[in-house]
Amino acid sequence: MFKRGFYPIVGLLILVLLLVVGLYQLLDSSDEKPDAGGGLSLTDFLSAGSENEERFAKAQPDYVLSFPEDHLAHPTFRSEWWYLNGNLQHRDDPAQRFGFQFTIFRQALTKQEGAAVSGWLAPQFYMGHAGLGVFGQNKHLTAERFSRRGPGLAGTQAEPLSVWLEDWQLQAEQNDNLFPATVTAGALGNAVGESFSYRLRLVPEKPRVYQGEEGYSPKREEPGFASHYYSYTRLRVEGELELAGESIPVTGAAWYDHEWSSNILAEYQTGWDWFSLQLEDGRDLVFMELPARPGSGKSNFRQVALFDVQGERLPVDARLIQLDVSDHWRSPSGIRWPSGWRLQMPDHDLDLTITPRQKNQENNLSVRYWEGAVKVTGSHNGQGYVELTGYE
Amino acid sequence: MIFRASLRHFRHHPWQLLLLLLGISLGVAVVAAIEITTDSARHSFREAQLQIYGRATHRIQAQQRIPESLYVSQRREQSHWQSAPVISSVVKTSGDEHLLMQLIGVDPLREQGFRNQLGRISGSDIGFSDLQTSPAVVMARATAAEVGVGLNEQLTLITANGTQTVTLVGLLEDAGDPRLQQLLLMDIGQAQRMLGMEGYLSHIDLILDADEVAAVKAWLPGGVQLEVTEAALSERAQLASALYFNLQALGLLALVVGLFLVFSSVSFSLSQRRPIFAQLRTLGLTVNELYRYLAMELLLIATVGTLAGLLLGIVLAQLLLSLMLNTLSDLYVTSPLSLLLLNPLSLGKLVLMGIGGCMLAAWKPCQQLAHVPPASLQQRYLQEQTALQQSRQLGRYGVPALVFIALVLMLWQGSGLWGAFAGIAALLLAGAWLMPAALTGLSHLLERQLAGTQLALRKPVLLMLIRDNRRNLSRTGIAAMALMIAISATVGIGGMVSSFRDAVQLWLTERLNADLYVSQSRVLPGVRKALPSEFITDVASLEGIEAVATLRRVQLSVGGRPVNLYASELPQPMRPAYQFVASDRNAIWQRLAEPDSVLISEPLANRMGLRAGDQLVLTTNAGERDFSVVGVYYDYGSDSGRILMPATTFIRHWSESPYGLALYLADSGRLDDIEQAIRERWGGALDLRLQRSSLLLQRSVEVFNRTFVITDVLRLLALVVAFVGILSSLLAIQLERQEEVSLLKAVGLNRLELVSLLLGQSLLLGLGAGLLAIPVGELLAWGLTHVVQLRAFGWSIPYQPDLANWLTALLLSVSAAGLASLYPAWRFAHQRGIRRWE
Repeated sequence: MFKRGFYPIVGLLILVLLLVVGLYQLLDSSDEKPDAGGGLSLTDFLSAGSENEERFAKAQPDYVLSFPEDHLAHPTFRSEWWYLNGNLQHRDDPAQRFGFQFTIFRQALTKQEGAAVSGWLAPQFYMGHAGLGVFGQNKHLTAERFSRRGPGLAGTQAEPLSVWLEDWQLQAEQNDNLFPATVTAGALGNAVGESFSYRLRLVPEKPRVYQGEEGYSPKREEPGFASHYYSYTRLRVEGELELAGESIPVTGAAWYDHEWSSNILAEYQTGWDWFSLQLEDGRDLVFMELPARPGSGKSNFRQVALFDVQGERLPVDARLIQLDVSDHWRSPSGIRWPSGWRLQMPDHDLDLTITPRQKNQENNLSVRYWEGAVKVTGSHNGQGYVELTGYE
Repeated sequence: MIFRASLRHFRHHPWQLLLLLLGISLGVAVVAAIEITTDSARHSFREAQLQIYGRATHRIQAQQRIPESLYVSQRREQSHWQSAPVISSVVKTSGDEHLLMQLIGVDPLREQGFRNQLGRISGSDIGFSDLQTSPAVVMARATAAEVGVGLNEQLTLITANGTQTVTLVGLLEDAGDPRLQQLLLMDIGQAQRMLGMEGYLSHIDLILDADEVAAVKAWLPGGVQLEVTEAALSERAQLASALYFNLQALGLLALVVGLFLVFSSVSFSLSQRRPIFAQLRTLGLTVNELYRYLAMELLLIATVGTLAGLLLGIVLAQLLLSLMLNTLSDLYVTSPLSLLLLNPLSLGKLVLMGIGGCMLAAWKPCQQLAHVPPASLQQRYLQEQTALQQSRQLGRYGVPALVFIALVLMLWQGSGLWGAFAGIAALLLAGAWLMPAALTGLSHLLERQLAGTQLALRKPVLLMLIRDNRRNLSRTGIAAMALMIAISATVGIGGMVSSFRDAVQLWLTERLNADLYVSQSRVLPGVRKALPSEFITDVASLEGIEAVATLRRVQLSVGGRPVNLYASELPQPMRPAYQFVASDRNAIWQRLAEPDSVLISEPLANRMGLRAGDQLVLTTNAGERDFSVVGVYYDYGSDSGRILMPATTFIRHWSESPYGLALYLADSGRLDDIEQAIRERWGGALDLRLQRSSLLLQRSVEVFNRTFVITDVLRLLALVVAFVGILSSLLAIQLERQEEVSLLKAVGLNRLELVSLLLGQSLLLGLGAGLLAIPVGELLAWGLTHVVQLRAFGWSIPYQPDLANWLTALLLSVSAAGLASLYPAWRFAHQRGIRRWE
């Protein structure tokens, strides 16, 4: 269902956009004291968010996803994202391991009124996050950028099928299929002066799969709060990383998600723990838990899906899943992140130990979350990515 | 002991110390005032521009606007180049008081690092969507109050795209900072729509490091340029360079006069103390000890004088700045902001200059004093003899040498602007060295005329007066030099300014030679609306019109500076408007008819080292093209230069439509009829502006003269300083003649004789200085107009001597000298009895 969620990140995304828009004196001129309440108001987004929610399109249970159109942006929905993660290794030296993340978020500020609004006036904002873990050196490199859709600065297009934010892009080789595709992102001197980039070719090893009910993915117990959500759970990766002026050939396996919706997290939900795991036996597992705030009287909300080698969905009883945190890590920014898990699914004989490739995989960007490559051992071996949000 | 002796000396002669300080202070004050004023004015312009340019180091721009697709390509291909799209336009608020504002349309997401004004918004709940979804603006709180518009209220703007209504959604906390008060911020999309610029940008701002610049240049398509904003910024600040230049020349004059004052004051105060020093030397004081002491004393006096001068200069600058800014606002659209800039660096420079200048000026007299054997120090006669001998030597060898150096520096092009200045200074110095010889000569001449005549027999005082002048040369000579320098500099700069004025007025008269100029009324400065082609055809067909010339203009960048390219049909009657440097007029006009031929103005030719027959590369709509220069014409309109070409050539390479017409009538007497006819036929459809050349000329001259108001004021100021300085040093010298006066009284001179002796001597001195100042001043004026102006701006000005300046020079020098003796003469005359020592 909603994968690691969307909602806290989107909420934070809005916040960030506003911060950037309204408060750059904070970043820009440290000598100028920002007056409290100054800058563009955040309430514009956050409160208007709940008030105006009705104005945006909502995910419908009977909506049938159709492709390639649904690969593109859905500007009538409030929020959307295109997401890739992957475990990589040096082509000639499998001991050198890397992990990458690529996300382009779209956020509509107001409901788009037909096609009349174009160019700079389109109320569509984009944020991109790119991450690269260099596990041999305990390095976690990240980069971030923003743009409005504008006259082609960011967005999606059908021919060739692509999603982009300036020069970061995911571009298909054919017009009717998203994959095979190439993803390019990086930074020449990010916020902390590091430079990295990657250019990876992604070839599907399994067909597209639908999350929730045929791509209609509920977000909480109450009906009517859902997203449209589909994935490619296993993509073969070949390409290069550019790191410290050096080009590194890599191979590996990636995971792709595309999700859109107009509802935000419920009041009682703080964030999510999201796992995408690729097992060596060919099965892929996605599991997400949205903890309810203690005392809210609500229970944690779970979504799970297990796909076999052919991409066929296997029946899973979410209630039987047992997830225990086995370790924690306190990041330099002061947050105590879970950093090691035991995941048990007795109905599928899975008892998995999930260990981060390195503890330091915090994305300390405008939105702070942990997005990291993990190694899977236990009853089955494998690898994957974990996303943690809502921790403070 | 030496210290006590000096202290006592100054206690007994307090006015000497005061006058010494006054000389230093006044000189420093004027230099400081000019320096601070020009610095502040430049800074004010820069600050005003910075609000618009932001922190960008470079800017991508085209002749007019650039397609936004260029920006999109840049972001999609080379996103690591930090860039921000900008829409920029001047708008006017409606209402009784039109307020000019700079409308800046930006993408707030890309503004970080470029402009930080958005960070100062406060007061309302504006979100990004408010700016993006409706025509909403943000302006400074003070400006909103001035316009009388409140938050969420509507505001009507007069834009290049007609009248538009916007809503004020946010206020910038300007905190009295005038830099924010001209800004009107808007979302880029809304600004595009409001100004009818959909699909286009005014420019792209960039923050680039040195390595990226070349890459950007290589990446850019033809027809757009990468400009350094620093250059653009300073270009705006430099626009008034002719004005700044005049001010700097005045500052330099004040400095020279001030230093000369110091020189004369120090010399005098030392010569007064010679007997004391001589005694001390006899008692065993070594030369080095004397040196060290004198240096200490001077340093102290120079420091006090300089600091006082600096304070005075700052006060003066405050007064001058508003005058200066008024002048500058007349010239440029953006009104600058009044910020007095006290830059520690330039203040430090001024202090160093004041103290260093004093030490330098005092070095010679000190050295002289220290090296003369003690015995001769006490002998007045010997001193005079030495002074005479020295001045004779200077006159014989020093002056020719200096004149030679000056000529070489001024005639040799390679010495540059500073060489020209050095040449001018050498010329001045040569004049000063000539001064004692000239005075001696004058007195010899008068003596010869007088000697043996009845008058001389009846009034022996006259001869005494004349001869005494020679005798006192060691004391008065230096004051006379200072007087001469001040006066000749006044004559020289006055001559330069008046020649420049004359040349520009003549040029304006020639250039504005059509009977009537027609354009559309300009709603906004700098925005010229094109005239419809039906209108042009219709006007051309009116009866009584001999010739019609359309006027087109486009701004190009040549050699890194903006240059306006003008185009017209250049019909026969228009041609006398252009005077060429050398060459045959008819041949030039003939060659201009050949394809891709252009005329360039003299400053452009000099700046780029171009001559008739050379090639000039210009950026056309289709990229860079070669044009051949067929002639160079005189022009004082821009020191960056101008280009002129036939309309037929222009049309092939650029797309701008005519913004104006110049009409030449067959019969100038029918001007009213023609004006009437045009208004009747087109007055309803177009908001026309019909200007007769006489009126246009008058207005141009007015503006031009206004820009010289400040020059005049400063010239006056420099003169006052020189006057006060000369007055004070002469006063000091005269007051020192107590001993002599006592002697004269004892000999039997009556009051009237005494007064006429003292006054007469002074007047003679003044006359001598004034007479010499005239030729020196004329030479100076010639050097300034023919050498310095040409090197500074590239334009040549025919020099015309101004007889009024001569009269002023004589009047000034004689009255300064006369006034200086009035008080001593009065005082001595009223003293009773004979005093040996005061």
